Amino acid sequence: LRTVCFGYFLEIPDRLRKIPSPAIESDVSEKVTPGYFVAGGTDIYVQKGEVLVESGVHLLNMNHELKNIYKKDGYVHVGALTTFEEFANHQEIINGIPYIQTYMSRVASLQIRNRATLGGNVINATPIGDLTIILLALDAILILKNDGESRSVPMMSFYTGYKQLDKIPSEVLVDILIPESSADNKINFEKVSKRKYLDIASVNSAMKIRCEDGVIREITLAMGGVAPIPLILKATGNYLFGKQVCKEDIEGAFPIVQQEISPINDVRGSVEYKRLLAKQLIIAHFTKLFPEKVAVRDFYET
Amino acid sequence: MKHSDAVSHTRGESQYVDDIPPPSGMLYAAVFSSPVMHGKIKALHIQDAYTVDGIVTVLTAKDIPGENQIGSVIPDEELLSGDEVCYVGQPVALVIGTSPENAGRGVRKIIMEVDELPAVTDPKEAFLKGKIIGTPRTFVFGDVDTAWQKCDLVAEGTCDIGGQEHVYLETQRSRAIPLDENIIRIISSTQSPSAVQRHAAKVLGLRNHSIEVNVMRLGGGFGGKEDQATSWACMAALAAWHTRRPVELVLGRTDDIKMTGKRHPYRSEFKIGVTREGKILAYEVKHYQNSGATADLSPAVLERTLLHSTNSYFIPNVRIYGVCCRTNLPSNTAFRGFGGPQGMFVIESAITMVAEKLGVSREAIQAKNLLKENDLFPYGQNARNCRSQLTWYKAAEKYRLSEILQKVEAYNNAHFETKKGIAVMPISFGISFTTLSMNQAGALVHVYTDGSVSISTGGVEMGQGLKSNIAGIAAKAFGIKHDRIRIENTNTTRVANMSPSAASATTVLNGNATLAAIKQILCRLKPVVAKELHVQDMEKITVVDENILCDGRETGWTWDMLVQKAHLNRIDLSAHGFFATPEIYFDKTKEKGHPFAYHIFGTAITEVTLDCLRGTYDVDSVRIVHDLGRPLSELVDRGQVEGGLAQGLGWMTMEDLRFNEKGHLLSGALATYKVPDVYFMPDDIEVTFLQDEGNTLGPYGNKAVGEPPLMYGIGVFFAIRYAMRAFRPKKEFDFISPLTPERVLLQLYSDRK
Repeated sequence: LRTVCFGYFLEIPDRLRKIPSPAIESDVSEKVTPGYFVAGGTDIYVQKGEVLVESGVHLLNMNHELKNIYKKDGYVHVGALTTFEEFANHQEIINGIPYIQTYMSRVASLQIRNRATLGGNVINATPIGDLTIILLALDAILILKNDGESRSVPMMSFYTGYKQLDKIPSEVLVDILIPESSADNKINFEKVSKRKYLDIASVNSAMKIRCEDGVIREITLAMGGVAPIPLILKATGNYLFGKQVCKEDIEGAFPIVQQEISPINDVRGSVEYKRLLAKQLIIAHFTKLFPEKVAVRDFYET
Repeated sequence: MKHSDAVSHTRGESQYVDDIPPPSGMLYAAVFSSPVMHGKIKALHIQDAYTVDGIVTVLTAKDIPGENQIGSVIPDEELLSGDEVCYVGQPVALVIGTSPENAGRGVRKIIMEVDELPAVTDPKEAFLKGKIIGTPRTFVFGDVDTAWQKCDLVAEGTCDIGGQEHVYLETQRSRAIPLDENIIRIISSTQSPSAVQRHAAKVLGLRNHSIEVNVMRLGGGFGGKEDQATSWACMAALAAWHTRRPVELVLGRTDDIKMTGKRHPYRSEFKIGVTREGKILAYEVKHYQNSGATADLSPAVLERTLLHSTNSYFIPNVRIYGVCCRTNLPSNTAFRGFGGPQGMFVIESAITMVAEKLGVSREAIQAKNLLKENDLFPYGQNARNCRSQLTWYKAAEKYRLSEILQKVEAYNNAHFETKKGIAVMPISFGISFTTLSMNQAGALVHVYTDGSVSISTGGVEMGQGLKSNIAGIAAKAFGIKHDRIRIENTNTTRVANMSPSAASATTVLNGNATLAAIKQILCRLKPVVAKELHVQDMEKITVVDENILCDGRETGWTWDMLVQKAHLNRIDLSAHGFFATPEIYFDKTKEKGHPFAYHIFGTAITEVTLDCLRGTYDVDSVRIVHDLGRPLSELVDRGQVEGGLAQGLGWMTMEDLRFNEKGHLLSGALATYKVPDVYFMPDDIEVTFLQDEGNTLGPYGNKAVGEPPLMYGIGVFFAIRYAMRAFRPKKEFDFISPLTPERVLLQLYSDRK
């Protein structure tokens, strides 16, 4: 059995190389007729598998220049076609998000992570995109290109409604700019799903925070699954800005969180559940990032 | 011995229905199904389907030449609905096209006008409205009504038990090929070839011998293809009959989940009475089974729920009531365990409730009430070769139960936001079809002149390892090497009137039939060599490692020589064998009898860790002592135990069928319906097999293993609940499954704002 099977698997790369590649147009800037841009295809082929077969399709993944990650002018530039795995394994990213690989283990499967792209996740605009939520919390800026012209949009104003984007159909997301993080930034990502691995979140959340002398001096809180769009909890962030990391001040944020979110009942969970999770994940962020200051016990021990 | 399909599966070379090269001119069918839960069909506009390129024909109820009826227990199920639709996904029309895509496009053009009628999805509501299937059943044992007064504690509660989608890897599919003389050959992914044959003949108005059904292997069945593979095969046959061309029907995952039935959800109301010491004196339960729109196998599933309502415990006073409730959901059907798991979940819930009220451990009550040898089950059968206590105490000792319990308590005292939980789950599962006539099987064995052997049985290989088992049995019985044996696909022309491959009984029934055939052939072969050796006593002749021995000594004769000599002497080298399970009977008027050939016992200890902040949990370990008899292939059996466990864990935790108010399944795709994955399964699964010769019915002392291990998974529900109580000791939790992270978190915090 061993020789029979192993030989078979070892020959797979050879066999794949023998399959002829179809001729594929690869120029992003070329004017496109109505159709679909496909990056990794891991979402769109699930959602529109039957439609795509009969539609114009523009494959983006031949554009290798959209895969670079590099630092420039205070930003980490991440090419839109960077796969989840390339992102999580890049040293610049690991420097900014030390636990990125732990978070990434909760996102899709290895096979999908090797194919799915950051740009695809952002443009797919699902309110519970895991990478979208992380990028939102990192205050990412999007660079969109259209026929040689490009413009930048802060990610937090990119989503205008459920699957509605500040983007015209012919524009293509080419670059994602993440502000370089300072050494005292802390970042945490939380995800709760029915199945721990290989599942879509009921609610997910990412928080970037910087404290000086125990006072919150910078905070961005993103949450998914609680609104029609991947949501920045602006009012909650504003409230927490300048506050201490302590039980009382964190509890003070709870009613504001509840006002900011507007979850719906769906297969990922009831409104009641998602509202409860929103609160739980805020507690999780703070107790995980500041274990010396707050513990779960503080919030729930009677 | 490894699984006989291991190499071809690993290399992707195993053939399933649609892997067979298509015959020229083959057409493809797609199903138009009801978009509403309940209604009268006012009009069905099929003409627009013909505007799609490549549509050959559209078939509806009126195109059925025979009888539009495929109900197996009760004739209440049409192949294609003519007047009324009773659930979302009920087949109404069949579009036949030159490609699966064309046929699918044709389906999307069909419009059905319906006068909608009120619909019911809740079993108790259906019951109260008089919508039941068959007659309710009641098992009575002792006298519950007077026993309540003797109890120190009587507790009552309700269980809401979720259903379960089969998620066989290979969805439902079938190919029908018209042959000459008006014969139709059906290649089907079915657990029940003879059911397909009977119903296809009925639908087409033909005799059974005009339908040939062939089954190579299934990419999983789990009960979902026992009764519910039939309709798709009949539809392909109907289309082949009309077009006189081969027709293939493959359900995509979305259609499969939408159109096929699942494990039955139950609403069960229980009342339990115990002494202060935890002895259960009385137990009463009412099971309201959510049967879905048609009878299907529901009455038989309900019967097994009643039979397993006291699980592995002896309770002296019992009243068990059960009723099939007709609802507007896809008709629920067989699923590994076949009603048994639901019955067990309720008694485990009842025991949990009294343990919590008495302030003692669940395990204390369980251990005090385990079955002993010769104890009576409520249906009048004695527990024989009872291993209820044996497996319990062996598990407790081997896996150090008392130490685990102490460690769990210590952990919980030391931790706030995470808690550990533990549960012990004993099982007692009856082996046999509860429908008596199904406990029979046939096998056809040929020995060819080169000494190779071909075996056909009425059993279907669905990944469970039947072929490996039968090959092992045959090699042992003949005394020859495994590679001499080929197990053929399953075909109604070689073995007739098969029972479905189900009820964990496929190896015992078909293995014994195979042995009966082999015995005949050996009885004809031995005289050939005895004559040559001038030996009178045939008993002295044996075949060991392909050598013919006399009195245990080599004779110079080999298997090859013997077979060739026999053929030259014009000895029949083929035989048909038959087996019917002895001893079993059941009297439905009294609800008493001896329905099972034997019981399988076992005990599992499950440990979990609960994240009390997020409501998520990990299964840390499941440790099992399982009563296996003598394994034919331990690797195959271990696969059954681990696979069954995974399916049980999934049923209790994450497998969540959510229908909206319009009867559409929200979790109708694998993106939303989650089954256990490799990460969810505990790293620590230990299985200890009890190996003894206690079973005389199974071939070579083998015991059934297909279904029982699923019920070990029930323990996880009570382990998670244990951890929940450690976090919120004073709170009462419900008995609603699956215990999803959502249900956990909401119950932990529902009273805290």
